[in-house]
Amino acid sequence: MTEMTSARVKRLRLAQNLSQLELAEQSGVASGAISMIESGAIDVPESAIAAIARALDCEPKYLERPSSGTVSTRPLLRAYADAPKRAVDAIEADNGVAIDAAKYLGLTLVANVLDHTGLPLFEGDLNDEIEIEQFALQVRTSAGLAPESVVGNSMRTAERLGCVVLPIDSAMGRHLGVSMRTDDVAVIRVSRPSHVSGLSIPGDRQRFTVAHELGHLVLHHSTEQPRNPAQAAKVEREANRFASAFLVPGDPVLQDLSALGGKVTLTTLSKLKEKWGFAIKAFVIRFEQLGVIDDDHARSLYKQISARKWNKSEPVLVGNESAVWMARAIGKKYGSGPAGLSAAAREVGISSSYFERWTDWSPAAAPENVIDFAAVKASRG
Amino acid sequence: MVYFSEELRSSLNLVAHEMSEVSNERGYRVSVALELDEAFIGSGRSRSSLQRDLAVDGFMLGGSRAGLSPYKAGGGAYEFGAEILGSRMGVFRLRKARQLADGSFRVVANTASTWGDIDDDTLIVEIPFVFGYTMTEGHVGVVFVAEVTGVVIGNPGELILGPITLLNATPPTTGGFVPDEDEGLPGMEDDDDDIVDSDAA
Repeated sequence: MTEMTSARVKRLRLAQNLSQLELAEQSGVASGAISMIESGAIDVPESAIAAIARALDCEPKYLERPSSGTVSTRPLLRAYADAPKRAVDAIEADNGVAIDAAKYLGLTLVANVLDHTGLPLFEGDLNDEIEIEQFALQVRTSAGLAPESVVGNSMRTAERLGCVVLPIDSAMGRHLGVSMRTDDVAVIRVSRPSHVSGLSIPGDRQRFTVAHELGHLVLHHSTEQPRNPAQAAKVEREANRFASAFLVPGDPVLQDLSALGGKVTLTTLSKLKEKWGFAIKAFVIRFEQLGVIDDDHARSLYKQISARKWNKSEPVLVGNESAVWMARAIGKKYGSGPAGLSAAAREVGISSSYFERWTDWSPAAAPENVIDFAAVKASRG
Repeated sequence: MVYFSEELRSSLNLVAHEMSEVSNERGYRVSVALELDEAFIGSGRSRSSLQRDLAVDGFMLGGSRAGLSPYKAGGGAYEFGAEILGSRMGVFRLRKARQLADGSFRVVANTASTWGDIDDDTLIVEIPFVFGYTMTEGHVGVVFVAEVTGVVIGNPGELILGPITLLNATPPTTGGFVPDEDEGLPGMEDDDDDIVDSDAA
């Protein structure tokens, strides 16, 4: 067994969210042996490779093939402790599997089509919020957006910038998204909607999450992992500022506000949400950032939002989005739909369930062990 | 029972909406003003008075926008006149109200709180209406109009109200944002065959 095979076993195990013990149980190989296989300490017989491959939903040839050895950055997560390490490891490993598969298949990255030199990267002063605002406008321009344009589809915009956007539905604490570079490819993972009411992600939050993660990728490319909560909060604020300016650039939204009468009220914010696909509560922060309202006014609006129970569910529905790059790139080479995914999976040597997971943005079904109280209540009328 | 034309109902809703908007936008300034001196919060009258001033501002603004020409009447009251069905004139006076547990509204008054009569010049009958509003957590809550059919004498007394017509201070939000799923992706469209099979990164 090569060192690369060891790496593939470990990466697929993590991507499948399995512990070494669970893989041992499913493959019939001793857990101690799994540990030694992953560390490259022992060679294993062909029969063990076949059993491990079955447990990892791949073919032996996939495990035996030399790997390019993907290199990934760690995500910058707020209050890192609230995101389970196992979930973060699973996403990092899954990104590695996805990018490795895309490269093996020779899928064309959008960045290559556009002859990108890569995402624009911020080289200014992160303490200067005006610089972040201006940089967000530059990134909008790079994405082909006119200064006054609404971001019609945040995921498509991120894809046009060369990012690979893939769905997640694992528990990430309070995090709805995560971003990192995998083999120098910018990867954004975002929660897909869910049929479980408590786990559903409104479209406006999904859009903000994409822009926020894009912010991390362009602002924090050379930022070290936060060493304490204050540093973590600072990088989150910076990404939030970028996301706000990216989705709602100052000048056009101020013109819209003026056209609506200039009053910053929940009625006005609802109308602005309808145009910009940006949450009402986020608009309060945005107008405070732009100096339109002061702290007292913002607090008053938060109280009104709370009194109307809009913290849990805002009016003005924003639809969910879906990314298309991987499905379309596979479609170009192997045909669209499930048949194309299966053909690509056979070529790589992994189960088509991997490709389905990376391309499926339909609302997630409730796990069998979850009882959705809201749904039960609704069914009882 | 008095019926309002659709046009008048729409105008009344506009006034109610403007009152709500002014209150929602600037209501917090009442607390900011009261914090300027601890004497301001002693009796509670300052808060009530400032909130009323904002309600009046919204009433006058909305009334003007709706073309109802609101004005300041005697005794510090604010009102506007509007023709109601039956070729009669309604005189709508702004009054703060309190909503009781049973859902009814109480507007305090004394015997001097009467308005509407027969206009001496035109001999048109003027029917008194209250343009009522409640305050909820410092903001305009429910807004309604009701004909004033009498006054209960007492200290304080209260107006006897006819059928209540609730106004839509906050119009329901019905729209939504639909993401553009047709946005293209360079190199991934059907007519991009010439560039798709280039090398991967």
